[in-house]
Amino acid sequence: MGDFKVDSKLVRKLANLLDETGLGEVEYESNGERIRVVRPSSAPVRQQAPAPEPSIGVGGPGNMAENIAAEPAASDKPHPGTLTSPMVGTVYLSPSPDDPAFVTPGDTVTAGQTVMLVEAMKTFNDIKAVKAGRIVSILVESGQPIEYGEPLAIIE
Amino acid sequence: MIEPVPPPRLPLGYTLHSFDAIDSTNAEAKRLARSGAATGTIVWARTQSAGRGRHNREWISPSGNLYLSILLYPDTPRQEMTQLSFVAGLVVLEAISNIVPDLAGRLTLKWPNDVLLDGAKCAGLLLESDSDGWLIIGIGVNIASAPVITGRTTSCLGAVSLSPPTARFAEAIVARWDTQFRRWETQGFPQVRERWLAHAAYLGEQIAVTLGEETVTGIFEGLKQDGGLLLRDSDGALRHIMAGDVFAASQAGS
Repeated sequence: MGDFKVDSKLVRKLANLLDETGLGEVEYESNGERIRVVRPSSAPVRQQAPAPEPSIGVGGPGNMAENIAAEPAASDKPHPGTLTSPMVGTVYLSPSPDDPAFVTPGDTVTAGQTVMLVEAMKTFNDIKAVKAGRIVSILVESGQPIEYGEPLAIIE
Repeated sequence: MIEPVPPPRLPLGYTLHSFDAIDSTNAEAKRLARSGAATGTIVWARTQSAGRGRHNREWISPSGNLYLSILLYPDTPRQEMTQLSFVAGLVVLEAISNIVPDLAGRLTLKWPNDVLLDGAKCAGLLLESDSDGWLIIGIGVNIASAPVITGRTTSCLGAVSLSPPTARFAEAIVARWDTQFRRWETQGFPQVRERWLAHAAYLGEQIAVTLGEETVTGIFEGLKQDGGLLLRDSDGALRHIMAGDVFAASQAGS
């Protein structure tokens, strides 16, 4: 398979580009290597087609809602139980590297229970379950950098 | 025998909770926040039995050093609360400089908010925030003694000067916090960033930053507008770092 190396930095950059532009996919080619990043249709796409009339875009880009992905796309709604990051930083799934994870998929959580931490500038931010439910999936890895609004977990 | 230290006196608008011994001032501040304590609640303890730093690392907390937490409810999104990490680091550096003027020129700030004396850590801060809107700023200053920690250089103010009691530092830090927090509220982050950079350790120098398992090295080029660390890595790429442990390149890799 040659030595094609997955450049996770580049993938992340491209993924951020998708977020910024609202595009559905982006392809990047350099030195014969090609990376294509496609947004899954369940993710919060802002606008897929150029829409001249702003009838759908309630709320606008300055979405201040914390913890709940409140992107009001008409048909392409994210999972309503998606927990998103209130800030840019690094996400941790446990209080310290030696501790067990706050939660794992399948766990039931109560409203207000801490499910992860996001660190930025040595400020540790509790990320809590907004309502009671079951952790369906965890979408990030401990120690991973994350962006504002990035989906962290799905709770049903 | 340790002489009894009188508790600090605080500016108007602040409420002191003082303890001879506590698990950790941040833990107590958190309990107080959950039971409805108001903004401006201050927790001060003479010793801690479970002082904590980043990633729950132990913060060794004998008497004679300062352990202080400030609880507040900033009217700002959590994304911007991180700016207060820099405000708090500056406040601690400036308060120490005011009380012990001899040290003023020997103190620097290591990103984002460790205070270094002659290049060795003498004060550390840990901030915690919650979706309920509170922010806790935990401050530890090595005044009488410095812990010995493998792989790290530490210092204490008492090794280089005859230091006033810890309560004086608590008073000076809270008073300075009060004015600098208001200044941040009215003037925003740019002036904080400027002043922080004026005290920055390793600016323009080779540093190593540990990001979990990974360590990156490069030149510390400055702060982004949001306070993120700008590192020019060996490939010439500029990295924007939001969380990590910074070391002088000469100290890293041990």
